Amino acid sequence: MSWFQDLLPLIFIYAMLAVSLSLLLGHTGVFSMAHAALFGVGAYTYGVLTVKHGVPLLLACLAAVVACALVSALIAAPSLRVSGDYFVVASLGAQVVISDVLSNWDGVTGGPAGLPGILRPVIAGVDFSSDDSFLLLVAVISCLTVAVCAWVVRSPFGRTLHALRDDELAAAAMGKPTRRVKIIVATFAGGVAGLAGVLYSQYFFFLSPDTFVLSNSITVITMVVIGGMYTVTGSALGAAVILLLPELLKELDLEPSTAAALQQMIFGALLIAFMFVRPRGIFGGVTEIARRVRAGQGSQTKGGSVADA
Amino acid sequence: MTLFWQLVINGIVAGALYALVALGFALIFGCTRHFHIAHAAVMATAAYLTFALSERTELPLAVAAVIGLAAATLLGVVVLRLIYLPLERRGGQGFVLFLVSLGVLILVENGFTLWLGAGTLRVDLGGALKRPVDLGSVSLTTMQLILVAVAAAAFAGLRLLLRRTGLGTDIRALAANAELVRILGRSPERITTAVYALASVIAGLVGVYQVADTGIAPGVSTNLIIFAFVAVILGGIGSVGGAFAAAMLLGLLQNVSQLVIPSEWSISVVFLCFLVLITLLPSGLAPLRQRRGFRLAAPAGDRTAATSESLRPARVGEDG
Repeated sequence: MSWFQDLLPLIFIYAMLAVSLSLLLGHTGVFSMAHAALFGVGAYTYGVLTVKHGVPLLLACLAAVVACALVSALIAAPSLRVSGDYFVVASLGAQVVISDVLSNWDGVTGGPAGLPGILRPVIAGVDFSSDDSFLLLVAVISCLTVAVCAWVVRSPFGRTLHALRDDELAAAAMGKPTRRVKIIVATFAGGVAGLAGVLYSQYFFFLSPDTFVLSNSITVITMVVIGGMYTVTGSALGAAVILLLPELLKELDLEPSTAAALQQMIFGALLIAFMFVRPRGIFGGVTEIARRVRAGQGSQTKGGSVADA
Repeated sequence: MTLFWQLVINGIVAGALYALVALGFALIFGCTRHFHIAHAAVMATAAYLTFALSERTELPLAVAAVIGLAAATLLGVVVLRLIYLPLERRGGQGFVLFLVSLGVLILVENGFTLWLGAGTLRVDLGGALKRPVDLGSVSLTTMQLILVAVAAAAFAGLRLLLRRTGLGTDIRALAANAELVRILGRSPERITTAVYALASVIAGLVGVYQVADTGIAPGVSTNLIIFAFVAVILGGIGSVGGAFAAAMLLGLLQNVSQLVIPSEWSISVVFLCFLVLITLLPSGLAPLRQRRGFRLAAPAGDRTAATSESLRPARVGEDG
């Protein structure tokens, strides 16, 4: 089970990323293709600041989150003036530009060779450099983040998001500031992606621009869709499902390049199949089913008491 | 100055390639609002099959290319008939179709990678088509010349088709008002199928060119489709002519910018310009010069309302 222990921090990190994307994709109805790029901005901001400039870790972490939130807002601001289609194309463009910057800006990012030497943090005297303690840190931060996102979705702000998603014109007619709300949620989602990026860089001690390419954005989209884009916890669980899949493929003993292509093929097939069979994802609708079951039981007991009376 | 003109020539060649992809995508998008990213898979199918059939079997290159083209066209139509239309009948909107389309793209592209490997694949054409043609101080290969000619011909042919033929009238009618087309007793499905077949043939041509010129590798077709998206948005949604012009501009910008900026940044330059432009001109370049009779969709004023239909969240088969 040691492979599982190696995978767990990654699952927690990608769960944050998937949840942050589900805020845009499922809850606001904004389709972003740039999530891997945002992840990269967070990871590289932290990495470059700590490794090359010796900035204190927590300050660098804060800078990474802020930078990521700003980039996300920058992508969102112009394209949200116009509707849906533009955001897809703008985020695709942003993904390509940021990928290019990460691999071409040699002087700062280390280029294709990557950026080594990133450190795990020491917070309030507690050293998180060992794998076990780091796992604990990642688990706590990830669970807190997912909880905050779940709270945001249930808050009045979350209901505004849903109103926007279901009928933007009606939401605007009700006096909701639709553009501002979208930019706020994009900023927030960007910040969460940035925090995930920071943890990712600390987990591997090393960053390579290949991690933050378009295909990884699609992987995150797959996580969200498979898990259930309308539920926060579903998206988080989707991350676990998608990350466990390559481990199963390892059992087949394939060449790495073959395994990668096969894995992507499976993602593609899953996306198609889920849209036909289960558009709300594996875990989407589960809470509603539970509620219905409970409601069913409630009415039964009620019926029973009526019969008794 | 020579360098400048050479870059302009390179830009026109690149622009012609983008324009061919953009023409097909603009036609599909303008007509159906399907965000058909699997158009890249259609392109890749033609390219990979041409390579596989000509290099792995004894078939002559021309036959391989024709089979590749046919398979690509078939893929486009099959994706429409077996995936998009059934999903639409179940109430799936743009958002769902885009996800499925993305699924088709990664399924097909990685399928070919699994079969033929992840390296750059190229077919050898022999000398004739690769021979440079001198135009004074600048040059381009015969093949590139043919590409530019094909792009111009496709543009003119599509223009003629849309304006002068019955099918063209049907396509424009469908773009303007699908409900009315149905009421008049025409089958929107049949018109859409024709649109997909037409666009897929053009994409297949791009694929065949690509595998014969710089080669096909994972991501090549995706890059082309992203340029096509940008061109369609810049050209103004629904405007095939606008998409063509914008694609040529993108090609020129990408190449001429290399005079001042290192070439590895040229794609970033294009996208940054795009992001700045849509901030300033949300409805693209088309309103700057209206082209009557060559628009597929509603006039500029109505565009935002029309596009907002396309990428809405899923509301297919709600189970809660």
